[in-house]
Amino acid sequence: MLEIESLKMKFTGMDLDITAEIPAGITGLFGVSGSGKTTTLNCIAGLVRPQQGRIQLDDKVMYAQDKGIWLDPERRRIGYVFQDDRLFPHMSVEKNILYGAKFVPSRGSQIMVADIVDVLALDHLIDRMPSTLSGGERQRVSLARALATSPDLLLLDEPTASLDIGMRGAVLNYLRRVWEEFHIPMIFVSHLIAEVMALADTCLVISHGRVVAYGPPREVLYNAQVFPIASTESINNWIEGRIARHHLITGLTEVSVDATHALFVPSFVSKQPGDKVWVLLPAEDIIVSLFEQTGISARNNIRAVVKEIHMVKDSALMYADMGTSVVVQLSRMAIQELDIKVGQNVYLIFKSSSLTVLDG
Amino acid sequence: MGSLEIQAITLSIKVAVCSTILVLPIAVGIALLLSRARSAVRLPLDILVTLPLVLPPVVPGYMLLILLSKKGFIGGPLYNIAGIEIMFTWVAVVIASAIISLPLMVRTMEVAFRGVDNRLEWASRSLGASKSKTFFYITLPMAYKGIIAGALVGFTRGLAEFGATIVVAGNIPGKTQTIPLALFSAIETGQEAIALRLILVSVSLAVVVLVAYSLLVNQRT
Repeated sequence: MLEIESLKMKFTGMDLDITAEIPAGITGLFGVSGSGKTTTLNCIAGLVRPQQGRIQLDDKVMYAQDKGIWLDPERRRIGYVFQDDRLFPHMSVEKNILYGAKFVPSRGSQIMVADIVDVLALDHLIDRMPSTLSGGERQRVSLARALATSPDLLLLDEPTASLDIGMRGAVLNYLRRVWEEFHIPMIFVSHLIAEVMALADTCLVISHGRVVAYGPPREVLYNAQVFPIASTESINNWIEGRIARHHLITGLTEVSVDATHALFVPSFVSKQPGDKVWVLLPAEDIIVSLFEQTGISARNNIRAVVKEIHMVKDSALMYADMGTSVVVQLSRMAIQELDIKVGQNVYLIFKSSSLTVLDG
Repeated sequence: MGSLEIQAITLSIKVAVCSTILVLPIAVGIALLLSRARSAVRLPLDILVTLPLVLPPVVPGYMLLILLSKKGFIGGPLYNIAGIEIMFTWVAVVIASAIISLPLMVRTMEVAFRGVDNRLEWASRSLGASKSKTFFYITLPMAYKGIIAGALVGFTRGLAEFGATIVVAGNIPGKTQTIPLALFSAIETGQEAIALRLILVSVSLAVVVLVAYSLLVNQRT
């Protein structure tokens, strides 16, 4: 548990005042750029000294202004994966990864470097120099380097921001694997609500230096203060699936979501049947029908059960279960006219061209 | 080549080597401070370090004379307590050339330290390295070219030092007479052959060091 109490910091263009209790797990720190996300991370890591407040990780006080306590970053055991990976250019990948490990005092729950290399698939890169790596590879090495110090908490600042969309799914999957394998609590910053929804258990929303919402991402999304921020970019559903088969004649690929639900996506032949993929489905591209439609061009026509409906400003967010939970963004008027109720069966219709497939 | 010429050449090299070694850690420290300090600290320090470079070398020479003479601040106690006399010895030559080459070394190294991205230093701290370990593992290796380049520049300046040296160490053949001083004497006394040989030696030494400098600076990593 990370406790942040009245963390205050004022400088040009920034007025931060954060109070939050962040449980162990994956926490998404969401907000627009300039809202104070990175400054908050820097304060937690000890790279920036706030003017007031208290920061405590489990029973270790990192900062308490009233008691004059301030731990230098090297004494905090907090791993930091920077947005601009910050690999040491004069060291090989291996030396980068081992760099921090030589400074930390050994203790019981040490993470083995070999396991990190294995989980992040870095084996073949170990002798390379950072300048020869791709963006995604650099980000993985940076993550490995932070993990090798066996941190008590891992901070990730926009880990996918510098990557093209195709690499983002892979990095999110690596992060999830890191949590499953090593159980290090993570706080990751993102300005994309969809990423937070795909990865985080808990979401903390910051706006103008203040916490405006906190809770499970799906609940935070329909918070009246959060929705306008979140919906400035399209709200994407990140759906996990496996390639079922490639339909060569139609040029479509079938991705199964579970035993009974499948999506038709644009041909994605770089993956074999059985391979894991992410499918991005924009919430506003989904049409809701009360009846099964025939004679329609859209290739995806899936029966779903309505789980929740939330009105936010002029929009409505509907959560539906189609083998996986998806969020549908509709107009308030549409919900009212169709008289959609929780528990009702509906059909979700969307074109395969609305879907983007990413490496899983 | 006469024995006095050879003595001048060996003394020059000895002095340049010693003064470079003496100044190196000091220059690294000052350069690091200048590259990181706030402007309120930086400006006075910068001016103080740069003065010997822009003043006529005779001025720092005379200041050293005041400090190091038997009645000076430093020279006085040294002479009274330990009986050591610095003036007009080869040690005085080293000190004079150290003061003169310091600003050049600091300037070159400061640029090198500025070139090290301090975000990498913060990354190192977050990985558990203290400030000093970060300096030795990250800052220094990343700035090493500039540091060696600074040392080479300082070395050539040490070889060339004349004005401050003649004030604090005189021009004693076989004792404090370096190449530039020997050259000066040769010209004054009209010994053209000796002057020509010393010029050749000076140019050759400088060319060797400058080639090394250029190779280092243009080397790919």
